[in-house]
Amino acid sequence: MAAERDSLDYKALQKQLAELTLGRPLYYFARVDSTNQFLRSLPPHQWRHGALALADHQTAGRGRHGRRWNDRPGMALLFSLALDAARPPAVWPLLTLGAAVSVCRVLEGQGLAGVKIRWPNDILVGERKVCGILVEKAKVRSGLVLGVGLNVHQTLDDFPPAIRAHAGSLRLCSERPFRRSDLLVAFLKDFEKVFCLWQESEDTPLLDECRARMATLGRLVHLHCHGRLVEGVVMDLDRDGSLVLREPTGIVSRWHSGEVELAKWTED
Amino acid sequence: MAENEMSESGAQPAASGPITIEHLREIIRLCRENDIAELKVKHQGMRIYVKARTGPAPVEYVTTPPAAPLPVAVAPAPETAPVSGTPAEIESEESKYVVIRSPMVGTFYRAPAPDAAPFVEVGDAVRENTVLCIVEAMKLMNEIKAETRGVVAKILVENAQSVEYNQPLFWIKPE
Repeated sequence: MAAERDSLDYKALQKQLAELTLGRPLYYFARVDSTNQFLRSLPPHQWRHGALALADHQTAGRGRHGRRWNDRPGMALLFSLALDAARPPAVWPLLTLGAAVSVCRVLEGQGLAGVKIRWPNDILVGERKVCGILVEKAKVRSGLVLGVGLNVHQTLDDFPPAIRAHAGSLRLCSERPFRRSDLLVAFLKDFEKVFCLWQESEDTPLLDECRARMATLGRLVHLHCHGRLVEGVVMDLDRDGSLVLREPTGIVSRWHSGEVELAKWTED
Repeated sequence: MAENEMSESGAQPAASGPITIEHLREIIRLCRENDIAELKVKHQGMRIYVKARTGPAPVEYVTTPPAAPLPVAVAPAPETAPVSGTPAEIESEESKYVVIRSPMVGTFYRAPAPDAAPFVEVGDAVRENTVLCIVEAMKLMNEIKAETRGVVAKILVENAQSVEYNQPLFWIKPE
């Protein structure tokens, strides 16, 4: 099955972005090491809240601790946003959850069912990961960079064998065609509202939206953290976005770091 | 959120007049509610030092455990208690240094990647923009900068350990 692609029309996109508060200026790259890295490195005089870096292909897309994000040109929607964070660092991680909520709403708006958040920064459709989010600090004081990588046009053959069982794309989840520029504009429109709520310290509605889409709420999970494996049932998200687990001993623990998997996945 | 308002406004009680017992109660209440490990308030010549009790207590919450196995029965208790007087020895030793504290709850990393060299070692000269460590929470990597010129005098946390809000991470001997 040949993979379809869509082109990112820079001029058309610029016109659409002109009506939004986020998305300007637009830096478009046919190929870049990492859109997050590009914005993070902007010197203060070039830094603008709302600046958008968009790429057709990343050669060094990064996840946690330098892990690679795989992509082939034109297959994924890859972008980063520059954000001025007026609130203190303790609540910056809530932006990761807020962006996850926005991605979910965009995908739901495209008619996709079974869209879930895997705490803290992955979006699943069914049990396949279609999107990763990474918020990083910029060089500029109080500047944050929100990076999103959304698999759009990939077929299973486009994913390396090692991740084929758990990776997905919108094309694999739905018969309908998708345009990356439409998805981007829909995300920016939604995330504007999320960012406003966050700036106004209105965290409760964001956390409620996030809880409603948590893939693991009420389920038994394995949490991997610093070489430890912790088993527990996900009870809740705390108000700072941390994960609340009830462990088999009965102890309720709160986690700010780690990777979560449904316990059944590791038993397969 | 409350813990942040705490550090910005709560730590500066009424702009005029001395600290009253009501202020003290409020400070302790906010510390307890927000899991603040340690707090110093200086106001009109009066100094207050509040430190969380760390002994075992029947609390339900455990914060993200450190890399070392956590004894299940002993939960770090976010219960705060006022300390009467000032712990003079700590106060005088610490006052020689700039104390770099964690701005968030998370995991402390001394290096940018597991196989990379640490950002700094004891004895290293640092400038305002020197990155000392990363505190990670929910995949958000927050690089903590020295914000001052000096020499790293002490590293107070082991790599990959969990840290609390406002927990001291480094002592920097100012230039």
